[in-house]
Amino acid sequence: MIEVSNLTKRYGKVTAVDDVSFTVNPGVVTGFLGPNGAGKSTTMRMILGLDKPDAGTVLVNGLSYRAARTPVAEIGALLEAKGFDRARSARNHLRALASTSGISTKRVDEVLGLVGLSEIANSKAGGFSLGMGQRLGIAVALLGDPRMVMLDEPVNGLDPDGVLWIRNLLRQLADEGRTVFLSSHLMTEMELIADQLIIIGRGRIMADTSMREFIAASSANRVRVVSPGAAELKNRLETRANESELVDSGVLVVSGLSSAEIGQEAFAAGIVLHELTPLSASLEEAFMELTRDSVQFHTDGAAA
Amino acid sequence: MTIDTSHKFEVDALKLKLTFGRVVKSEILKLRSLRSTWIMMLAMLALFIAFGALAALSTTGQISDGSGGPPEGFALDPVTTVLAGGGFAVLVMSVFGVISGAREYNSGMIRATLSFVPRRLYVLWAKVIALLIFVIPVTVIAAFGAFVLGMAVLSGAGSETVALSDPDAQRVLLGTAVYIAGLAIIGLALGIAMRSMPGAIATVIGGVLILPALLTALLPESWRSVLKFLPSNAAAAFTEVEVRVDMLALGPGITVFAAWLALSLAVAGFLLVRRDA
Repeated sequence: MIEVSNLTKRYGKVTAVDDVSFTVNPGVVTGFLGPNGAGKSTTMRMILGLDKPDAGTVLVNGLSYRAARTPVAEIGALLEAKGFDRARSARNHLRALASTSGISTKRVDEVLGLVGLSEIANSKAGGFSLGMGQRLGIAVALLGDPRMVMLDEPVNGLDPDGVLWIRNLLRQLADEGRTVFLSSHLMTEMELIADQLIIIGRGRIMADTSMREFIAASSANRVRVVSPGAAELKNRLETRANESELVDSGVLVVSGLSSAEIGQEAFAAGIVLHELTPLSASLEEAFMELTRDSVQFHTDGAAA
Repeated sequence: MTIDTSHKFEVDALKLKLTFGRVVKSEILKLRSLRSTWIMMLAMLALFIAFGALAALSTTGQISDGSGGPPEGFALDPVTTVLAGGGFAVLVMSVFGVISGAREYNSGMIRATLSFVPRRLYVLWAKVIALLIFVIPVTVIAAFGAFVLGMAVLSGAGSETVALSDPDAQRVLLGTAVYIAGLAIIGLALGIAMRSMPGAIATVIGGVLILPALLTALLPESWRSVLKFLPSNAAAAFTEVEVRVDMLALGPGITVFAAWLALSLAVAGFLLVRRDA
C-alpha cells in the first residue's frame, strides 16, 4: 500500500508535481496515467525515496521507504529500461542487486527464467534490445518477491508477446494480494490492465477513480445520425442540442440529446433517418479531453 | 488502513534484511564482474614492477642511450629507483577509484542501487571497502615486487642496494601503498560527488596529481608553506626517501593526507545523501 499526501516537487521554477495525494491499494492493478512530462516518473522516484519532495509525504506500508529494513520485500521497481551497466551480464547485474539483501542466486536464476532471459543471462547487457532491457528491469523489480510492484512505462519496447506477458503477470501479482502500480501515457494500454485509474496532468491529479466509473463517465451522450435531411435536422435541433455537427453531407453527430429524442424530432419534422447510433467516446478521447488543458497550459507556461 | 498481511511476504521479508555486510558483498561483486577491473589491476601490477626494473637496468647502465653511464638527472637512491613505476600505479588506481564511484551514474544503475539500498551511506562505505579490497593487495604485491626485482637487478650489476629491513625502505614502501590506496579513495569520492567519469578523472589527475607539482615548481618559494599541505605534497612525507626540508614531516604529513581523505569522503557522503538520485 502506498499513501501519497500533498506531495510537491519543484525543479527551479517548474512545479513537476503539485500537491498530489492518492492511495494505491493492494490486490488491484492501479494505473498512473498522464501525458509525457505530467509528473509520473517524478512521483515514482519520490515514492522510492530517490528524489526528495519539497513538500508532502509518502508512506510505503506505513513507513518512509528510506527507513525500510527490508526494502526489497516492500517495493520492487522498474524506473528506467536502461539502468544497468552495459559491460556486466544480466545475471551479474541481478546478483549484485540481489546480494544487498541476501537474495539467493537461485532466486536470480528463477527471475531470469520468469522474464525469459535465461538463455542470454551471461552475455553482456550492452547488447540488449530495448525490450530485453525492459525485461531485465522487470526482473530487478521481481527479485525480492515484493509486496508492491511499481513499474514506469513497463510495456515500452516490448513486442506484442511481451506486452501480453506483462499484462498477465501484473494481473497475477494483483490477484496474489500485492499492490501493483504502473504508469503509462497510453490509455489504450491502461484500459486493458488497470482496475483503478489515477490520471495526472501538469503535476496535478485530474482523476482518481475506478476504471469502470471512468468508462461510464466518459461515454459522452453522443448520437450519430445518417439522414438525407441531416442539414435540416441540424437546424431543428439547434436550440435543444448542446452541440451538433455536420461531419459529412448527410451525417450528423449530436451531443446532449438521446437517440429517442432525436428520432422523435425527426419524425415530427418528417425527416427520413437511415441510421441513428449512440456513440461512446473512446477512453483515449476522454483521457485527452481531461488532460488537454493541462498539456496546453504546460506548453504555454514553458514558453513564457 | 488496510495493510496487506499475506503471510508469504512476511516470512520472506525477515530473511531479506538489508545489512551493511551484504551491501559490501554487492559492491565487491560489482567490481569483480567487470573485466575492466581485472585489466586495471594487471596493468597496475605490470607497470609498477616493469618500470622499477627498467629504471634499475637504466641506472646501472645495463640499458642506456649509448653514452655508457646512467642518464643524467636520474635519482641514484636505490629505493627511489626501484619504485619508479609508482607514479603510473597512482594514476591507474586513482582512475580506478573514479570509475568505481562514477560508473553507476554514467549507466543509470545508481537508481537501482539506491532503491535496493535506501540507506545511502551504506553504499558509500561499501564502495570504499570494496575498492580497498582490490587496491590494497595489488598495491602491496606490486610495490614489494618492484622492490625485490629492482634490488635484484641493482645487486646483479654490483650497484648499491637497500635491504627490506631498512627503516626508510619500509616507510616508503608502506607509504607508497597507503598513498595509492588513499588516492583511489579520493578518486572514488570525487566520482560520487561529481557523478561524471571524465570530470572526476580530470579533477583527480589534473587537480590532485599534476597541479600541486606544477604549482610547487612554478610559484615562488614563499608559497611553499601553503603548497606543502596539498595532498600529493603532504604524502611526500611517507612516499619519498628523503623528506625535503620545505615539506611536512612524517607525522604532520600523515595527518594532513588523512584530513584530505576525510574531507573528500565527507563531501561525497553529504552530496550522496542530500541530492536527488
